[in-house]
Formats: sequence, structure tokens, C-alpha cells
Amino acid sequence: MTAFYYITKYLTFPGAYVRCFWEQIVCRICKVPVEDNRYLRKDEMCSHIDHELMPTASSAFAICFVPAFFNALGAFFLAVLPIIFLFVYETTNPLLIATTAVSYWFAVSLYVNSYSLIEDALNMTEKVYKHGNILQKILYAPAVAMLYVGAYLERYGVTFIVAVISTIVLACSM
Amino acid sequence: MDEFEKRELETPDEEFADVSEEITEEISAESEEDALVKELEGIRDMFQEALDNAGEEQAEGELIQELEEIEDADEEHPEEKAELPLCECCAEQPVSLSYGEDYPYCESCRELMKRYPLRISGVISMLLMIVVFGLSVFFGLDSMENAVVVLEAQAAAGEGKMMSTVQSLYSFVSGKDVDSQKAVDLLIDGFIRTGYVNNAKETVEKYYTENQLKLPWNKKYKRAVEFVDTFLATRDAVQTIVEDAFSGKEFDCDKLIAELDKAKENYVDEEKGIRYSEVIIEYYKYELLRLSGAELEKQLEVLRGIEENDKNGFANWIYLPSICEVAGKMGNEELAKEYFEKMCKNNSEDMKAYASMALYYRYLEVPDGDAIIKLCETAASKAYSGDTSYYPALVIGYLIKGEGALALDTMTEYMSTNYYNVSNCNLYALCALYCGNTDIYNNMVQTLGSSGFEVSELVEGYKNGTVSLEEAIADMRGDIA
Repeated sequence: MTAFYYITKYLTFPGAYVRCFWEQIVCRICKVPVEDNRYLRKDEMCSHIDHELMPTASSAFAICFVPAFFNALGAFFLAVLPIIFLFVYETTNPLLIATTAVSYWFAVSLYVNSYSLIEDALNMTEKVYKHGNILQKILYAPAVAMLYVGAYLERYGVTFIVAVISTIVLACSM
Repeated sequence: MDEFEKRELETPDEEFADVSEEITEEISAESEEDALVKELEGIRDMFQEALDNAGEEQAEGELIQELEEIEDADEEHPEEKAELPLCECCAEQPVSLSYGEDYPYCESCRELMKRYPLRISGVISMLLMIVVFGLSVFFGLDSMENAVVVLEAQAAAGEGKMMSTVQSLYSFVSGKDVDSQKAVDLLIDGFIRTGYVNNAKETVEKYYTENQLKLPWNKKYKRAVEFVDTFLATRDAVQTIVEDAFSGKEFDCDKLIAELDKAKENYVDEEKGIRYSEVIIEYYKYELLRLSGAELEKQLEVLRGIEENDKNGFANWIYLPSICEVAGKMGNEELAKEYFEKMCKNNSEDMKAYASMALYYRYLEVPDGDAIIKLCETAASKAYSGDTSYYPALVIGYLIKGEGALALDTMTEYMSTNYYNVSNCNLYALCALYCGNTDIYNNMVQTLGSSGFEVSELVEGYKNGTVSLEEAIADMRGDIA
């Protein structure tokens, strides 16, 4: 499973770069020290930057939510045209095939690298539900649940499978 | 001192020595006491002076004292400073203990880490994604309108509306060079399911090369082309056999059926390298059985055999309505409905399905006009624009209900938009007679006569009063619709 995780990460490296970029931006805004900003490494930090744990509920939520949100948003926009032209319309225009195929690869790579590390997700739940105020607990709840589950999915490379299945379901439903 | 002088004058010599010793001791004791007192007073003054100065220099003094203490401590315990590990980052400063005992970095490195430089690869990736998205939009813009047509056609096909699918894609595909494989595939599938097999073949041959048809995922289209070739060759061969049979003075149905069986076994179109289709030959056999008035069970058996042989389902548009009709004539509601549903699933806009199901209600012991009208109302809601092929069934429903005027109006509308055939002309003539409209009746007699046909015996009988309307409607030979 670890090998599969690395394969998916290296296959989807553009998404990993973008995710790490957002992660580092959040660290800067929250003034959290970054220990290592190598985006692709052959350990459990692959496609994540090494930073200190976030000190507050809001920052802990932000480090998980912001990269996931922007990656998912980008994945959505990049996937729409490939799903229409590649899988539904089945275009025979070579230029359109090439651009939409690359666009689809980018979309999958962004989605596969949406979720945070388990440690960050655990820190987020702890900070929000032990130290956060009642408003944060209520407002963050759906996102926290999604990000928490997503972090576990990503740990085993399942997000790659989810991306492929989602494409098939979307293409069939159109 | 005065006391000493007094005592010296008043005392004798012996006593003088003792007294002198006492005095000496006293004098020495007094001197020591005075010195002690003076020393104590000096100390007191010094402390007082120190206390006065201390009030003014307290703050400064404390700070200095602390610093001195730290320096003293360092000097006294140099081993404590050496125990703190050096920062993992700079390896110069000791680590900071403010963030935990095991924190590996010093304060200054920690501050620098908060401004760790961003990598350019993240920005480049994002820019690339934006560029690729833009290119996809640019190249896809021309096909966007076509994509909407294909999406709508696919949605229609998903609902089983094959006529709508074919109509929307036919003009789209034939009008210009199509860059959508899906549009082509949907159109071919639509042609096959609606029975326009020749169009299906033409479309396959236009958009698929021979090599493409050899690919496993294109087998369906290769088989479709083969089916059409076989269908056309078989149809021509059977027509020749039938024409030969009709050219004789006596028409022998059994002999003709035997000829068809022979064709099924042996006939091969050597020129085209095609073996005749058993499914098509068997269907002609069923038609002969129907025309000769053979038992319904026998007809159904032949039709079931056809269904079993048609493994790809390319010919289901031919035999499914027939099975539904035969089941309806037999009064087998369950079987009729089963095949009616099969037809609707294949093409929900198939009006033949409704017309075939209507036969079940028509051939009931007491024909159910209400059920026929209700079924035709459903057909009207499903019918593709302009498809009025369920009208004859509706006209019969009106006639059963005794609503002659509605029947005639409906039939007039139907005849205005459809080709005339023998059974429809007879039904129109019957409606005209029912309503007393001799003009239309005479018109139909003339129309049939101009094509070499005569008005049906049933219609003629109804006109003469030898056949009732119910008897004419209950005809099972297909004279009327």
C-alpha cells in the first residue's frame, strides 16, 4: 500500500506542488515555522511540507481546509471540460484530445493531493473540539469530518481510486 | 579619675597595694569597654550610611546583583551551559527550551523558519494548469454547441427516446464533419433500435474504416453491418421465392414454407459471400402463417424461435410487435404486456408498441374501447413529434365506444399525414360508412381500385348489412388497421 501511495504521489506531482504551495502560504500567514519545504520526498511527508503543529483552532483548521479547498476547486474546473469532451462527447479533434487529456491529469492530481496529513487532521480535531469555541465547533464540523476522512483516504492512496471512480460516475450520469 | 585620687589619699600602705591592683584592673576593664562601644558605634554609623545609599540605588543594585549572580553561577557551574545541545539548523546557538524540552532549534532559526522561502515549482504548476485550462476552453469553444446537442441526444437515449435521439443527431451528423464519436455511435444505435437498419449501415461505413471495425470494441458495429447485408440479401431472395410462388395459378402456402426452409438450409449468396439470415426467413414464414390463418399457437412458436435466434437483437423491431399482437389475439394479457414493455424499453417512443397492445383490448370477448383510448392517450404523451401511427388503434377505440364523429375526424387527420395502405383505407371507408359519409367511402373505393385492390369483404358486408360493426372490428386478418 505504501508503494501505491508513492506511485500515486509521483504520478500526480503537479497537484502535490500546488498543495504544498498553499500549505506553506498558510504557514506564513499563521507565522508557523516550516522545517522542510521539499515538496516530493520518499517518506510519509511526500507531498506535504514539514511544519510545526498549528497553535490555534483557526490555524489548525486553515492548514487542512485551505489547500483542500483550492485544490478541489481547481480540480473541479479542470475536470469539467475533459469529462464533457473526452468521456461524453468523445471528441476526435486531436488538439482538443491533447489539451483535455492534460487538463484531466491536472484535475486528478489536484484532487489526489487535496487532503492534509493525518497529524494535521488530528491536531485540527483536537484544537477545534478541545480548545475551540462553540461557534467554531458548529461551523467547522462538516468540513472537519470531511477533511478527517479525506486525510485517512489519502494516507493509503485511496483518493486516486476515488478520483477515477468519480470521473466514471460523472461521465455516466451526463 | 576623681574617685581614684580620693581613695589614694585616704587609704594606708598595705591596703594601698590591694587597692592599687583593683584600681588597675578596673581601669583596664573600663578601657576595653569603651573601645568596644566605640567600635559598635562605628559599625552602626556605617550600616546607617549603607542603608541610606541602598534606598537610592536599589533598582540598579538588584539588576547588577542578578547579573553578578548569573556570572558567578556560570563560573561556579560551567558544566550546566555545556549540556544544552546546539541548534540543528545553525549548529551555533543552543536550542531554545521555550517550545519544549526536545525542541531542536534556536530562537533565531525559528524566526527565520517562519519566513521559509516559497518554492517556484508550486507557482509554475498553477500557471501551467491555468494555461492548459485556457487552451481546453479555446479548442473546445467550437465544439461546445455540438456538445450540447450530443448531451441532449444522450439524455434522450438514456430515457429510451430513440426517435428523438435519431432526429436530433441525424441533421447534426449529416450536416457537417462531425468530431464526436459519441454522436456517431448514438446515431447508429438509434437507427438499429428504431429499425432504420440501412441508415445504420451507411453511417457505420461512413465513419468506421475496415480496420477500425476489426477492433474488439467495434464488433457491435461490424455485426450491425453484417446483419444489414444479410437482411437485404435474404429479403431479396425470399421475395424472388414468393413472387415465383404467386406467379402460379394455385398458391400453396405449405409448399412455399417448405421452399423457405430449403432456402434457410442451403441458400448462400455466393456473390456477396453471405449466408441467408434464418431470422428473416423465419419471419417471412410467420407472415405466411398469419395470412393463411394458421393457429395462433403455431404463429407464436415461430416468433419465439426467431427471438431465440436473434442473439444481437438487431431484428427485434421486426418480431417484438408481432409477438405482442399474437399474444393479444390469444387473450394472453400477461404475455402481451411483457412484450409491450420490452418494446417500450427498446424505444419508449415506439408507437407500434401501443398499437400492438391495443389489439389485446380489441380482441377481448367484449372489446374494451375505454382501455384502448386510455392506452392511446399514453401513446400521445410519449409520441415523438408528428408520429401518429397509434391513430388507427384510437379510431377503433372510438368506434367500439360508438363515437363515430371522433373516429372519422381522427382518421381524416391520420390519412392527411400518412401514406395510404390497404388496411387503413378499409378502416377509413368503414368510419365513413358508420358516419354516413358516402363521399369519403367512394373516395376510398376509388383509391384502392386505382392500385388494383378492392374494398375488404368486411367493409362491403357492413355496407350491405351482412356484417355487424363488431364483427368487422374483430377481424383478425388485418383487413382493418
